[in-house]
Amino acid sequence: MSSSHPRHELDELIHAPVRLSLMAALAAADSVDFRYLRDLVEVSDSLLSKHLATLERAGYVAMRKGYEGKRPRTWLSLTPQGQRAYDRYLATLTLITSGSPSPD
Amino acid sequence: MADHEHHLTPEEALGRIQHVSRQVGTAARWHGWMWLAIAILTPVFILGTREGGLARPWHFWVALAFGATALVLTLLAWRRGVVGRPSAAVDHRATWAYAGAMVGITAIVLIWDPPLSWWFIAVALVPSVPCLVAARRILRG
Repeated sequence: MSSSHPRHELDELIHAPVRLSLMAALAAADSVDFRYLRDLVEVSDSLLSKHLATLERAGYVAMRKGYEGKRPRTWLSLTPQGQRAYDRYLATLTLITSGSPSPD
Repeated sequence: MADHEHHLTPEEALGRIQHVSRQVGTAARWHGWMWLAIAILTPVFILGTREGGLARPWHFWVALAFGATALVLTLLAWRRGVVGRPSAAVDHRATWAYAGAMVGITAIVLIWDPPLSWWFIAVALVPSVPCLVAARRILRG
């Protein structure tokens, strides 16, 4: 098995079902509400928080807290580092699915 | 193995990305339809409350319907779950331009009390311009 295959370049932090959905959602918008993300990805609050914390620790996601009346709201967005990581991931994924061999 | 832990094939990953991007894009574009609704309703409100001269009975109902619609749209915009990139770029400026145009028209009405004429119809369309610009940018993504 050659380690030069592009699949080895896939960012493992992103290449997990829930985190991939989160990154794809955040990449498609300026900012997304926590509750919208929870309903979109169909996970519990705690699981979503866990995955978001992982992405936040990696510097991929930024969190902004605010209020809607008296209700707390949390807005999530991709950081520039997260956007770059997602773009790289997407480029690698496209390379794999197009069947092109790795240039190296 | 829980669903959130299973391994994704590259095809599954791409499919998931497309699915999520489509859903988020649709949610983000909703705000563009809101701007379009404001662009259409504002001249209807301005002209509807001038038609037939001052203090006609229907003026109250036109103003009430516009106020209620504006309130509902504002609440919906406030509670939206997705802010798209075009929306984040254009919302602030469009809101200020719209508010400025509405203040200007209110001043014209209060100071000159102009009759319903072609020039006033043209003036009533001015607040719709920033709304249409915002709607176009957001809906085109």
